[in-house]
Amino acid sequence: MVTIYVNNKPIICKDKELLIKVLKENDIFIPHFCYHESLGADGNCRMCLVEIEGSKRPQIACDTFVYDGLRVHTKSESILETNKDILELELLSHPVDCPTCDQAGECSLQNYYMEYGLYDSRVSVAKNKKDKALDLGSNIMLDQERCVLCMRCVRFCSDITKTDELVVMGRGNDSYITTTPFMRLSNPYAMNVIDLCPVGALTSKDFRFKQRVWFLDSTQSICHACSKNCSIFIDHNAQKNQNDHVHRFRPRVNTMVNGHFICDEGRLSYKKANETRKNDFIMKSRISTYESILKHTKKLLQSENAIALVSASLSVEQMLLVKELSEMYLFDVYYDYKEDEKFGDDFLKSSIKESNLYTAKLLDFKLVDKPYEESLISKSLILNFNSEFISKPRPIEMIEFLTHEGKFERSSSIFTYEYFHNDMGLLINSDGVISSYKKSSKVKSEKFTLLKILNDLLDESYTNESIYEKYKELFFKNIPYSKIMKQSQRLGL
Amino acid sequence: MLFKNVSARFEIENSNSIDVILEHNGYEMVKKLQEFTPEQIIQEVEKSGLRGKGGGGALAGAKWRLLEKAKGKKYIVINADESEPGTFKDRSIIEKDPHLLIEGIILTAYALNSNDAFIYIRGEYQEQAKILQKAIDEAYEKGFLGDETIHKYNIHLTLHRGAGAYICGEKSALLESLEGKRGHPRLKPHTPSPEYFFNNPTLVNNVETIATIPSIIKNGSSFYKSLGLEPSCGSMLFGVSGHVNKPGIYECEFGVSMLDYINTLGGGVKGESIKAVITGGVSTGVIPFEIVKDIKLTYEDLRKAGSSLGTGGMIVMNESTCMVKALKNILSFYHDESCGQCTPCREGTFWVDATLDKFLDGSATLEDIEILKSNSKIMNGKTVCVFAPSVSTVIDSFLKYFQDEFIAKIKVDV
Repeated sequence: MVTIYVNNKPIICKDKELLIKVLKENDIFIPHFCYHESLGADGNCRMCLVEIEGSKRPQIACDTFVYDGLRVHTKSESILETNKDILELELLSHPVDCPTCDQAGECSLQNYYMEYGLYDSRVSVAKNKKDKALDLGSNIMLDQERCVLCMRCVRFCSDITKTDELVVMGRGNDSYITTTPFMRLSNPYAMNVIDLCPVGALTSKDFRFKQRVWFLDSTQSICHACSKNCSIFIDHNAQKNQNDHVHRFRPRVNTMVNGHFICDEGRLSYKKANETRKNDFIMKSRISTYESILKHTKKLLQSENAIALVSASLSVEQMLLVKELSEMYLFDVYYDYKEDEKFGDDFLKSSIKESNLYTAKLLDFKLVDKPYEESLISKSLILNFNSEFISKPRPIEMIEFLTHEGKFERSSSIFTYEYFHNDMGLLINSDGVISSYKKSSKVKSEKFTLLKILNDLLDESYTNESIYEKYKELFFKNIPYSKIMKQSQRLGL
Repeated sequence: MLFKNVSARFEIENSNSIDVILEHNGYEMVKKLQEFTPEQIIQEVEKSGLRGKGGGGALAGAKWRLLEKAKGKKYIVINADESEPGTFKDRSIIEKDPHLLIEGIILTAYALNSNDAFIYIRGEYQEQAKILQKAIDEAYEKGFLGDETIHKYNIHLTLHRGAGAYICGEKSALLESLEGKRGHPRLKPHTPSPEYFFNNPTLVNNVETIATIPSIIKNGSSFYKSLGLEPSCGSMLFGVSGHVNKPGIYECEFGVSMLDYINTLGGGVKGESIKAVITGGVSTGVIPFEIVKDIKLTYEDLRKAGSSLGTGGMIVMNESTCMVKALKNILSFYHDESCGQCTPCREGTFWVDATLDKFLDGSATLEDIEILKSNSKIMNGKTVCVFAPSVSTVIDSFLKYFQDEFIAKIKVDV
């Protein structure tokens, strides 16, 4: 470890570490476009120039490696002027169309202008015109006039996905980003370039013109599209007199799971959060009340010979309570899962589409196979916990716990419960990493959580924490709940 | 004044044919290759004080030593992307004595233990590329290049044509281009190190530098070092163009007077008098006659005058020259040729070029002088390569010596 001095304040950091990384990790404001943690330095934007004592010229922080005693200034008069001048050049031919730009509110150009700019324009020459509203493919729209040519998107396609769909064409200020001749932007991770783009050049066709970002609330969550469990932000809000609406998923940095990215399918799976069941309780095909269906279920559990099927996407806590219920009423719990070899890859997409298969196996639930079909014959009650693999071999009493519309709407009793985007819980991914997803404090829940329903069936009052803590020694290597809430933890395979 | 070293065979008829030059000591040193050890050749180059002729003027021997010490498969790349306005010396070597260049390449490759060499030639040099390719084919045929050579050293030489980008004359952009990528200069290493071609250590030298090697090996380092005015040792293919009676390439020792050179070899100025001279390719900026008259053609003298020797290609401008138009001409070139990688260069070259238009169409104001100056400042020393700093040098020199002409173009409402 070495000590460096930034604006005369000492910082202890690793020797030979990249200066811009040290500055960012220590929350020291350093403007930049081209540098990105996942892509490294390119050195083209020149926005991160800093003053280094003993160096004749300003140096870019993204190509400076720290050493003991390094003295850096990010706020000296000359460096502030340099930053301002470079920003002025970035904005030279920029259309300044913030009012109609979807990036407004999360745009680096805007942020830096507020920090360094606030000047009157000196530009008296005609702006350089380029193409706008270009559909590159994969839901991505390009506005070349807003582009600062930081090349993050180009580098993403060449270094991360290795698909090389994007290139820079032209020279000088006529340079522009476009697709490689005869190619469209089409790879399963393409939409990450929208997050990587620090300005409004690349926007999402799916999100554009729908919402101003400053009206959105962000909740830390986990993508449920496969068993990779990528960390995400759910961006959502409630319009006046309307229910909460999810507008997009964005990747959330988690070095243990997904790094900086998520796949496009996962990203677009936000739509499922807006398609949940309306908040109802059905008993014998008729709208009923929570209390009466609860009473009905308890009665059936006591009298009938039951079997349960769980979705392998239930959270750890939900599965633990199903386990408690099965021990109370002595029924077997089965699970099933889908394996999609075409979907899986060696990056972030897992061929197993259920997000918590690991826990289902850990709790010794049984995989649906022949014995399940056979045992159904002797059963008189099926409990279905949101599994889509449910089949109903003959008229049989069935109680379902659902987030979305089910298959047997007319023939079963249904508890509707809150989908994951409005709930909290733990998931264990296919690599054995346990992570937590949170519930937004701003959304008023209308539905019950599955935990609450199961607690009522059990006549218990477990919280997410207490049910986990009860079993942590038995199943989860004694990792404390609070630790998982802070950061993902590795359980191991 | 004329000193023929590299240009010794330029006057011979059909000098680019191998049969002709073999009668005039062609490949003399290559035939004796096995009499030298690689180390001997490196030491001779080090001792000769030979400086890179591509514009930078760094010691060639030191650059060679960096490659010699590097590990791995080594490559030699010859920079023939001669695109600097006012510069056409490498072109004359390629046209008039391509075999001298090939001889130099063989000596260099042997000294540095490399079996693969590339010549990256400027895209616009179509005729020259044909001549060079013919010379390479001849050298293969005669057994100077290839696997079983008469000098017992395997060496392959490939000619690669650029696609017309000035920036590919910058050595790291050249290598990017040679690797099949977009020609963007690379970030500079933090410690002295050779260049890298597909991650292999590589030497990039200018055509003239390599063409000088055979004469150094033949005559000895002490002879070469005795030429010129130390530390500007040796001779150079200086060029002169613009308002002179005899534009062309004339080889001289370092240290001759710039004015003498223009007046004798260049045939004197066309018109009344010299107003200013662009000293060594446009990127070195302009100096007025008052300074020109006292300048000796050495790296040091020109550095002292606030310019640099560059490629040695002088552009003479007489009293009729409009300096605003001259600067516009140069800035249009830079605007067109900026690769667009770094923000200051990409946007700055556009802004200054567009601002010059305002001076020419009469819409400029005093603030536009400030815009030229502030852009010059932001382009200086804040980019990956030296393209933008060159633009600064040019703008600064024009405004330093000829600001009055710019102000005269500003219409003042009285």
